[in-house]
Amino acid sequence: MKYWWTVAALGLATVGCAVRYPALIAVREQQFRSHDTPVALPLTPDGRTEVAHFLEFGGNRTGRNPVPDPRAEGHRQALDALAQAGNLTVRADLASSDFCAIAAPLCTAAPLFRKRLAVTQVIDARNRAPEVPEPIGVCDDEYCWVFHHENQRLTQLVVMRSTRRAKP
Amino acid sequence: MAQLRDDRMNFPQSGELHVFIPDIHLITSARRIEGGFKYGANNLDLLEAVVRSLREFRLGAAPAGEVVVYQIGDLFDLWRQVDGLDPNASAASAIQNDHASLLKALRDPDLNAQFLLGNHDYDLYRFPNFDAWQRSFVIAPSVMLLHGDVFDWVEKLPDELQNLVLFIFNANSAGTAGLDNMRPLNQQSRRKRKFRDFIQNQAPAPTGRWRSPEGGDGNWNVQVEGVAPPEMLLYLKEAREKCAAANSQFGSRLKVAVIGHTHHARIAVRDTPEEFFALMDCGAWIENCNTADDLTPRPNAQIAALGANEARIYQLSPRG
Repeated sequence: MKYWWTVAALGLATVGCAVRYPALIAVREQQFRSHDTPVALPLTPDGRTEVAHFLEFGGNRTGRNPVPDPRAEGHRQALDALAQAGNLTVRADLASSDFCAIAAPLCTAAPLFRKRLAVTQVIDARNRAPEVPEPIGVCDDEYCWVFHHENQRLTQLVVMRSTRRAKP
Repeated sequence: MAQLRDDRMNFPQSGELHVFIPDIHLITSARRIEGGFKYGANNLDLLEAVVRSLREFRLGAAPAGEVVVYQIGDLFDLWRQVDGLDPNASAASAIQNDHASLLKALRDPDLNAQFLLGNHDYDLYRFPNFDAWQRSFVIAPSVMLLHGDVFDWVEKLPDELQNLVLFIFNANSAGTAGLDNMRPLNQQSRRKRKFRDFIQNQAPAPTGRWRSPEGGDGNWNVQVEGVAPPEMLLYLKEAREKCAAANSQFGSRLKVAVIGHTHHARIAVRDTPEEFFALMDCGAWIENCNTADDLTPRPNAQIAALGANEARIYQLSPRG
């Protein structure tokens, strides 16, 4: 039995000392992203409809059939929240991986984003160079929400179907 | 501040100008207050104006001439920004967001600046958005460009550093394994320091006498081994020895080392009948310096340039 404890301790020590590489989001193909040019925030009725339509079709812009959305209520709350300017204030100068530490008002209004990792490494091969400021991404179980920001406010959004899909 | 013109640098290219921006050590404003740091980066508005001017200069010089701009490490001060409690956090992103205008200018694709990883932002190698940053450059045929922190290691961690030359030349190889391997050394050199009062120099760095851009031409303020005081020759010996080892090991012809890291701008040379070697330390945009004829602390705000067998360091100050 004591050997198991030793092995476990060694394993923990190894994991603790290992170099960690940050999470990243790769911008997906046109079919799997809500917009080619990010939609402006706060969402206008038209912008909201575009994102909602994308989600209704399972994150497939060329999809022909609506797909049941098990997170429909969470997504509706998120879109409602993103239509309100007051929810778009962020602390982009915080070195935190907690998305809600950075975007507290949005998390208050949209529980979907709570306990999610903030991802700053959003890779978009269409760009000549990495963007400055770096977009802030957050992934729920099915989608990644990539926010552009300026002067401590979220200014634009693209939603993408996540590459890590939940099992059916 | 300093000028060296000497054909023995073996860097005759007249169509190239290489411009070096040394250590800036950016942290967020909030962190500066929270961490109780008594100092910060100097004259950032001026630096941004310089960077934007360099972009125009570079675009205007092409295609007949080539201007290459380098930021030579410690652009970000990740050591001061975070205490390591949140390993998934991107401290560089937070700093970048807090200095967005300057960073947009520095990372403008039209400027195409080349970036070195310093010791305080070494860990950026793990982040895809900083993939292009390197630990060293060889500017052919004769110039080695590196941050300079490895010369600390030579003194403080001699046993761990069996072959610095191999490290310098191999750390940029594809992948990050080499950087992973050296990371513990970099962390060790941090040695739990908090850097609340200073990073390198608590007292202003001495820089000799200055002259105005119109004040003359020719060598100025060159620190010659055997004549200049030891503090003006810091890392000259180490750089010379390591470049000599590289020359013998790899067949290179390195005659000049360009570094930052010490926050002490100066040009130092070994000039003997047998050997000529030059070290250009480009200074910093943090902490202070003074001159031999005026001991008043002045904020470090230096850039350096190299081309056509001539090296120069400029101290800049805001207009008016």
